[in-house]
Formats: sequence, structure tokens, C-alpha cells
Amino acid sequence: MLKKLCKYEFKSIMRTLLPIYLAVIAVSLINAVSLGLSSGPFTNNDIQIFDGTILYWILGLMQLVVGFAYFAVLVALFVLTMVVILQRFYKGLLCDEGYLMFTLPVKTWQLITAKGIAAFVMSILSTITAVLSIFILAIGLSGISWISGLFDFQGWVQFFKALSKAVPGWPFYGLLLLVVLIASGLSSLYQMYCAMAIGHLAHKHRILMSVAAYIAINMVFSFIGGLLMILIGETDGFGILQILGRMSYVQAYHTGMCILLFGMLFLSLVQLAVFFFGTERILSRKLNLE
Amino acid sequence: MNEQLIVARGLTKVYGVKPALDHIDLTIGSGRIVGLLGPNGSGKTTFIKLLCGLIQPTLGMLQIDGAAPGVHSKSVISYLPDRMYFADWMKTCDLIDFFADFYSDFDRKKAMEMFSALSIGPNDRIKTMSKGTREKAQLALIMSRKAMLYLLDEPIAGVDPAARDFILNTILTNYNEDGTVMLSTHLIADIERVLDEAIFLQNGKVVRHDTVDNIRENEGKSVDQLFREIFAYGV
Repeated sequence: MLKKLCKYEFKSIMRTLLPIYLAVIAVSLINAVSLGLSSGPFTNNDIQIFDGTILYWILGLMQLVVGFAYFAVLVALFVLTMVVILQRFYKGLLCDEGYLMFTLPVKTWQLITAKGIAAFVMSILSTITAVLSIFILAIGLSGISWISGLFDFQGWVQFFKALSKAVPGWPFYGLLLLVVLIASGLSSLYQMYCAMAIGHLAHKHRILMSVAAYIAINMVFSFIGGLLMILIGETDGFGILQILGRMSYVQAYHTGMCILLFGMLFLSLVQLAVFFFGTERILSRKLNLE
Repeated sequence: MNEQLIVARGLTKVYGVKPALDHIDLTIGSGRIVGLLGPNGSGKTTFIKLLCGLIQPTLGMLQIDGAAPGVHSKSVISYLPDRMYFADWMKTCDLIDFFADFYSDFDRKKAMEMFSALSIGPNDRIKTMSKGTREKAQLALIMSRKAMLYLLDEPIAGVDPAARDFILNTILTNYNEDGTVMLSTHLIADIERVLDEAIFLQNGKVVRHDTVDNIRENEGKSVDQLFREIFAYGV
């Protein structure tokens, strides 16, 4: 059932986001061409003949317009991704569509998991689109000669050799950091869901109450975070700093990194669990559709 | 025949301080058409929402087919809410796919036939349909399921008399005969002819639950007349 829910979730999100992805790529391509014409690899002395002619002005104006359009679609990409993620949860579960979704023979956790998975994947796709568009612009600006550098196998081997020397065990840290990023990304996503679930309990001004709930949750967690920092400061990091001090440099470095990354992971997972189960409990027990 | 399709004992739902349903005791069997009758605010929609699992009871017990509202009850209930509940970008064929995916008792062929009888095409979008067409499309979908319990919340409110006839005929000719249809309304005269049983709700309490034949025999009057008497203002 979760798979089917995800299928419909992706279908309804893709409808809005796919056109904007295509628009971002298209505008990037146009920009790359226009940049290439004036300053990029296509420039040679021949272009000087345009100087001062009306064609020169048209080219300049076109660049300005295209540059502005690029900026606009990039902003639209991020704003729309955010809006669609919020809207799919709010309109899709807490408004009229909720009458359909909450009478399906599925569990509430499946509904909110499907929303979370789709939203998370779509934010990654939006980020990839943005990176891709910058990549296209870079090609327009400085040609494709530098791309061959990316496929320089020897260069990469040397790079990783140097990296392993400077930061031993970097694949482990990198992987752990990635997991931390995913957990904290999911936790911020479910914080928004949880805030909307709390906000929907109000009889009116539900969106306003959701925003208020979001701010309140942030305040509570900042407060807890502050307390934790004071506690760490007062106890020398629960005595860990002293233990680290007795270790060799390499050992202390590795242990310190592990504690830091696992600590961040733990905190993100705790927050994620609070938000997920909070949302699930509210929507299971206190569902209050208009 | 399951004589205990719906069992409610002391079922209570309180919004704030005001009870919307106040200690309801009801047993409803399968294979019949039941009218949930009462004026606005009498608790009809609240009772239906409790059955669907859209809200949780404050007090009391409720079972559908032997189980509390949950995944099982949702899989045997076909629910028509008093509003449009589809995303408006969906096309008719999307809706059919959606129902076929989530409800194993959904009959795709039947739905297609009903849509073509309504001259709704598979690529018509919800957005472009008129309000009446949307309601008919929604009804066609939920009546294409072979459900144990059909819950229809105000299915004939806000449509013209011709559409009203169409809706009632659709219900009569399409429902699973082993199942029960419960429909809420205050337009009794229009539905009286199809009802087997009537439940009268007033201020969150069941004031009468009887078969329509009994009401006619014992009272010597129609359900509509009885309704007008029970709910007369200022008497």
C-alpha cells in the first residue's frame, strides 16, 4: 500500500515540478549560449565588428533579459519546491482531499511516510536540477575544455591519495556526514508536517496556527539545545574532553569526529522521531477535517 | 446475513463541550437501505464520520463487521462525503486507477459503464466538470465497489430533481445486495420509497429506529409525516 501511496504522491508532485525543471534547464541552455557568444569560447576578433552597431545593443539586451530569466526560474524552482511540499501535505491530507485519503484502507503512518518520501526525493531532484543548471552555465562561460579534467583518472587517484593522507578514514566520515544530512533533512521536513498537524487542531486560522506551531517547536528545541550546550560546557563535554586529552593526536581526532558526527545523527534522529510520531498520533487520534 | 454489521454502544462524540452524539445505541444488519434522518445539526454527519474512522469517539464502543474502525472497516466501507474529495487535476481514468489500486472490491468495468452512461469521457478532468457532474462521477465510483457498507452523506442535497432520480436509481440498481446502504438526508419525501429502515436523530440522540413497514402499519402515516411531527418547531 505504501508503494501505491508513493506512486500517487509522485504523480501529483511531478505535475507541478517537472515543468519548472524543464524550464530551468531550457533557460540555462539559452543563457549558456548567450554567455558563450559574448565572453565564452565562441568569442574571437570577428565579433568586434558588431561593436557599436544595433546588433550589439540587441545582443546586450538579450543577455540582460536571459540573465534575469535565469535568476527568476532558479528562485521559482526553490520557492515552488517548498510550496508544493507544504501544499501536498496541507491540501492533500488536511483539507477536502483528506476525506479520500483518510478513508483509504491504509494506516496513518503510511500516509505520512508516503508524503515524506515523495517530498524528500523531490527536494533532492530540485537540488540536482539547480546544480545541473550551474554546470550548463559554466560550460557556456568557459567552454567544454575543463570537462576533460573531470575524466582525468590519474588526477583523481592523486587527489584521493592526498585526501587519505590528510584525512585518514575520510570515506567513513563522508558517509556518516551524508547520513547526518539525510536525517536532519527529514527532520526539518517532518517538523513542518508536525507544525501543520498541530495547526489543523485549531477551529480557524489554521495556516496561521501552523506557522505559530512551527516557531514554537523551534523555540522549544533551541531551548533544549541551549541547555545541552551549557551542560556540555559545565561537564567538559561529559568528561569526554579529558579522555580525548589522554589519547594520541590521531586517536583523539578520530574519536572526536565520531562523537561529533554520531552525536549530530542521534539528535537529528530524536527530533525526526518526535516529529513523525507526533504527526502520526495527532492525525490518528485528533483528526479534525473541516 | 450479518445482523450485526454496525454495533454502537453508548457512542458519544463531544466537540468542545457540546455533544454532537450523545450515548447512541444502535444495531444495524446487512442487506438493507437505511435512512439516517434528522434536521441540520442532529448528528448525522458526525455518526457517518465515526463509522468511516475520520473522527474518533469520545466515549462508547463502535464496531463495523466485528471490528473497531480501522484498516478492515475502511476496506469494506464505501463512503460518499458531502463534498468533492478528489484533487481537481485528476482525470476520470486517474480516478478509476486510484480506486482499483486501493480497493480490491472495485469493479473497473462497472465504473466505465456508469461513466459512459453519464457521457463522462475517460480523459475528462474533474476541474472542467460541472458541480452536478462531479457529484454523479463521485457516486458512480463509490457505487462501483462491492462494499459491505455504503455510507452516503447527503447524496441528493443540492442537485436538481432529475439528478436526484438518477442518483437514487443508481444506488438502487448498483448496490451490493448483501451490503447495507446508509444515507443521511433531510429530504425524506424523495427517498422514502427506497428505504427499508429509518433512524431519526435529534440533538445527537436516536429518537426512533424502526422499519419503514412498521412505521406505516403502527402509525398509519408515512416516514415524511412522522418526521414532520417529531421535528415540528414550537410545539
